[in-house]
Amino acid sequence: MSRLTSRQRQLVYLTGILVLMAPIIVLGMPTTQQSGNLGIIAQKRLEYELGEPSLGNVDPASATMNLVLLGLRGVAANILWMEADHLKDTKNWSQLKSTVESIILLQPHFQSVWKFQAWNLGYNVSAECDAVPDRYYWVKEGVKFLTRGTERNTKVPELFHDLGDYYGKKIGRADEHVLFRQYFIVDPDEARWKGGPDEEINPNGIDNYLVAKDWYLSANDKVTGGLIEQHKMAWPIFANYPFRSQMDYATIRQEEGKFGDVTSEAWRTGYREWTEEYGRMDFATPGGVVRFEATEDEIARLSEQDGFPFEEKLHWLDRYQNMVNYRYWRLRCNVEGNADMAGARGDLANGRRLYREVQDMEGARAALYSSLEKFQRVVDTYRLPDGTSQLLNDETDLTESILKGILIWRSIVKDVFGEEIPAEYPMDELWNEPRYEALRVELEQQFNAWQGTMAR
Amino acid sequence: MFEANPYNLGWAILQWVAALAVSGILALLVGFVISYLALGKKAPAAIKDTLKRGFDDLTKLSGRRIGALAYLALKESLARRALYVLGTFIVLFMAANLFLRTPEQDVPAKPYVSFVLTVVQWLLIPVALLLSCWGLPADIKDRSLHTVVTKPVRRSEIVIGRMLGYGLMTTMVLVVVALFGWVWIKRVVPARSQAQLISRVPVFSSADDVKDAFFFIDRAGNRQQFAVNVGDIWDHRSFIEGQTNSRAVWQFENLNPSRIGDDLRIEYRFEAFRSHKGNVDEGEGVRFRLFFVNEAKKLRVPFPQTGAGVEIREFTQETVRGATAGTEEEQAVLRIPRELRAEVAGDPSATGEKVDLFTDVMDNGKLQVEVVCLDAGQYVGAARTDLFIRLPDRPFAASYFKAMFGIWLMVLLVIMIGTTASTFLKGPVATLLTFGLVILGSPLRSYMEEQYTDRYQKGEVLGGGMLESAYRLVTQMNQQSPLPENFGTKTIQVLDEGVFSGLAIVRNVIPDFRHFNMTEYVANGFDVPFNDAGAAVLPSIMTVLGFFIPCVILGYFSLQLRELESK
Repeated sequence: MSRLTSRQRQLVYLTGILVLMAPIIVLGMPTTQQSGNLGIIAQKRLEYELGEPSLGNVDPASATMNLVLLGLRGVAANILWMEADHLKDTKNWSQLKSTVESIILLQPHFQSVWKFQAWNLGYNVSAECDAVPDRYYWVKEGVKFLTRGTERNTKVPELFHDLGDYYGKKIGRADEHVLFRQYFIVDPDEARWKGGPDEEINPNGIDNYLVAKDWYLSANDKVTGGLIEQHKMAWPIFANYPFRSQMDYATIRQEEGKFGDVTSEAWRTGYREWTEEYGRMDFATPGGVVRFEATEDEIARLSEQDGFPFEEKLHWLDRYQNMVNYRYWRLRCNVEGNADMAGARGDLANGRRLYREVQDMEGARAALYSSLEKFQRVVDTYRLPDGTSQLLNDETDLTESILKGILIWRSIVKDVFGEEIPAEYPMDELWNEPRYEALRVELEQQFNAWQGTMAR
Repeated sequence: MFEANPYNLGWAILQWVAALAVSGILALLVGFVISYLALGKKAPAAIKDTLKRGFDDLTKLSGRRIGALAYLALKESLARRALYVLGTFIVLFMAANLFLRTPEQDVPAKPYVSFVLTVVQWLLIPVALLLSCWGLPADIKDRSLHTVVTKPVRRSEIVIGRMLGYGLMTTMVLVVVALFGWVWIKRVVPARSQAQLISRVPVFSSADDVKDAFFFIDRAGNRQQFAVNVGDIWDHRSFIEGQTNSRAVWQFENLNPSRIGDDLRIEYRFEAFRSHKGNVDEGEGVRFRLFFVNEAKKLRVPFPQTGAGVEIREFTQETVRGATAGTEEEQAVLRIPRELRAEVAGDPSATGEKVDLFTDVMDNGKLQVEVVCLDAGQYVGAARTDLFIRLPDRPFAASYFKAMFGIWLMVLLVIMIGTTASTFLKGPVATLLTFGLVILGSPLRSYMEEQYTDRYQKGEVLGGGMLESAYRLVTQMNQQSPLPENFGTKTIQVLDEGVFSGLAIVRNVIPDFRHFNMTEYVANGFDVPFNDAGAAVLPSIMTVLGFFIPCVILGYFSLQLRELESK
């Protein structure tokens, strides 16, 4: 080499560079319809949907940042993660948020970043605040952050599912859920939202459980139609979230004392979706494919198709139904959608209110009796061949509610009006049932203690 | 970094004189040894000569010549295209953030302000570093310095001229960037958060002994420096329990009622810790009450005087609260009228005598403020700086430009060190040295101080010194386990002691860059204090002045004694 002149050496280097660049050019060319075998990398990227545009929205700032940092993205991301942790520890929330934004610029397709930091904002920071509107503000920040995560990563089902959890579980079940649910419809930031919901998270002003349902449905679509698997939970459980969300919506309405047509209709929708949509989905089990609402003929056909014996198929169907409590929820939706059940619950709540708040004993007595009559009709409808009621067997909450109703009604009859308790009255089978003896005694003690408090 | 204690100027000067004297003597000794080895018996005369010439060169400076040299350096740095590239980059970077992001309405002002000041620092330090470290070596290499030294100029003037020239250059850049940043903040901060762009002037509790400035009374009535630890990782705050004797006490001194105004404004930033949920559906916050106390007169004046107390408003700077944005309510400010009624001992419901806060309760400018938590089972967390008297605000520009002034001083210091380093090192090495000092003086300084305090004030460093830590790392031994008692351990400890002594000496000459970083004040809406032991104007100025003289001396002798031929 030393005999070559400087010019000659430069030419050798140039040739080497060109030779090495050739395959890069061939492999890395952008793909077009006419490109044939050229641009293999681009073609593969398209085929496996790995290009930036197919993963989700493209953020120019993010792309710029990654370019500017050259190869130091990992180092920068590490420093920012440590910084974010420090800011969280020292309760520097707004800067935590902006640091998280920077992390996202560097790692836009790393789903854990979105999950972890959304949790940080929506759960950890929120819990640090004392004022409930502040806590709600940070829950919203978590939700908004994760929503952007779904926009940047349109094919990752877990992010969509997590978002369903934020709307359903965080807003609907937190200690502060009574206020959170109100804020979801009427945002505390009145100056900005003028007494309406925060349109960035609830543009239609609907119930949080219904919004959750939509996100869960999207998550299911991503699993069934997409490229990326979910590793959050067993698929039958993952898939039932939107339908359970519908039931949560109906349940919370009852808890809030709303027993009208909307609530009954919500339960009927729940029943229809549970049996006609979720129940018709196919799930792979060690005993082949099962379908929760399959008829005997269908089970036989499925068993024929995948070669598992009929009995084994039934065994796995039963196990998978148990896994998601399928039969219970079907029964529950069916019962709650019944007009008598809605009436019974409504009368029970009204009776308790008249007794406790209005002190209208005559009205309370009538409402409670009417409620027990309706409960009796519903229970009779679901009686099993052995005479026991399927409803009372499965529904401990319902049993407790009815027992409370009987307890108050008996107290009014005996203590307020000084009358004898009739030998027979609606739902007396429950009151006399030895299985519930312990529960009854406990409820009586609670009731007496409460009465005592009231008397003072 | 904020200390809430004044900068000890006298001690700082003393330390500076000592460091300068010790370094001077050391330099003389080294110089003597080297010249003795080179010149033998002629060494003392040569040293005497050099010192005499040095004294002349350093004292008989000409402003005109320095000015001309500075102008030359300025022209040179303007000719360097790298600067334009950096300038463009600064503008592009900030413009990118201006236009590429979707505007958000609910972001407080804090992250924006912090972003601007941080970016300016990050971008200006490399500019200063490269300009100052590469200028002289490049001139020596292409021999353009020869034309300068052949002129009748003193080499001390070359050093000062360089520093001045580069200083002017970066000052120009800083002015542009600072104005750009100002416009950027005003434009980008959402309308609802604009009210957070303020400059509060706080008066913190103080006393001769800092332990008297803030302390707690526990439930048994005993004085404590710390109250309940609720298990928070951040032990900044201590917590007092509600409906007990527990309280937090702040003592203010040197208060001047004429500066306070008609009402006393007290701002607080407590934290709540709940041991039970409380009435969460009503959205009720944890509450507290203030007491103004004059122990001598047995006066206790509650505020609010009646009712349920004041609700804690946590993290007021961290969120935007809609209707209350920018109001005193949002900023958790209590406006306390001068005329109040004292508490009647033993009867909280009775109204006591009328008192004047400034004349009856305040005693020679001293005021004691106590905070009690009113909810049983709940806790209020407080630290010394969580309650302060707020004097009339200053405009936001005051703190913003003070912070920029801090950055400017920091850049000047980098230029001084860089220029000095470049008098005896080549470009890359000088850059490395200066950059190393910046890193040691800024992010690593806190760690260094922590090690120093642990070793020399608390007596023990967890996990030991450098070698001991390395030994524990390699043997996977945790920090608490005792080391085996043997010769090896003793050797390690002796050597580590040497390292600690080195650290104790070196920390006196490594500049503390933390004084210059005033970002936190501006971002949190506070005025930058003139005199504080942490980041503030006075210690920043003193640090720059303190380094100017030794840098010039060192730079001069290096340039004077070195061979200017390029190698």
